[in-house]
Amino acid sequence: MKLAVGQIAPDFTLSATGSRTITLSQFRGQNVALVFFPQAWTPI
Amino acid sequence: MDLFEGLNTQVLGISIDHVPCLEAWAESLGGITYPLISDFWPHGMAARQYGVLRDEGYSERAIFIIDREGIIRYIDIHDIDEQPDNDEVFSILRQIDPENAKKYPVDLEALAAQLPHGGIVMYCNTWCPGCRKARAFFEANHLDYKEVDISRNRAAAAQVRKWANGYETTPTFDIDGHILIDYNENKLREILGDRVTK
Repeated sequence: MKLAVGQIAPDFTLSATGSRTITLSQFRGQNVALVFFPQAWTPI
Repeated sequence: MDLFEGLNTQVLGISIDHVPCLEAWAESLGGITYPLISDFWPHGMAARQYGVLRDEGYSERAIFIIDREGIIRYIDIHDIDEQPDNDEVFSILRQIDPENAKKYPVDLEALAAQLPHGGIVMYCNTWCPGCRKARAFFEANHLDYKEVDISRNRAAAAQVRKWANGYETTPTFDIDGHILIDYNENKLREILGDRVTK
C-alpha cells in the first residue's frame, strides 16, 4: 500500500528505546518527522 | 536536533531492529535525543503500513512529515545509501507550521558567519568512522581542534556541500583555510607539517 500526502498517517503502537511504548497519535498537536531507516549502524 | 524542537516537531526514528539493538546503537553514538522505535514485531508492520517495507525485510530510507492533526504533509523516500536532506525537511516544517517558523527565524548567512575559522576545524557528525579516526589522530598528536556537527547545524551542512560538490562528506576539514574533504591521514600530515609529532 502506498501512502499519499493528505492522508491520515496510519497509527501504530510499538516499543522504543528508553523502555518507552510509543503510539504515533500521542503526538497530536505537534508535528512529527517519522524517519524510517533500514537498520541500526547505518546513518539516520 | 535542537532545530526540530524549535519547530514544534517530534523526531521519531524507526527501524526493524529490536530494542536492545537500537539501544546499543544509540549508546555507541553517544546517545540520541529522540526515541528510536522498534518495528521488529510484528515484523515491519509500520513500514508496511507506510508502504516502505522492502522484500529483504527492512525498510527504505524515508521521511514522513505528519502535521499536528495527524495528516501526512510530506513524503520523501530516498536512495538507501543517501543521507536525508534536513534542509528540505526544515523548509516543509516551516510551510506547514508558519506560526512556529516565525518564532524561529533561521538566517543561514548569520549562522554561517558564526562558523569557526582558523586552526583545525572538523565538520563531522557523531557516527562517521572517519571522524572517529580523525579525533584519535588529533588526540595522539596533542592537536587542538574544533568540531562542528553538520547534523545539528544547517549552515555548516550547507558549507560542506559547497566545498564537497553537493555532498555532505564527513569529516571535512578547514585547517587555516585549507579544505580537505574526507579523512586522509597522509594529506592531513601534509597540511599540518611540523605540527604532527606522531
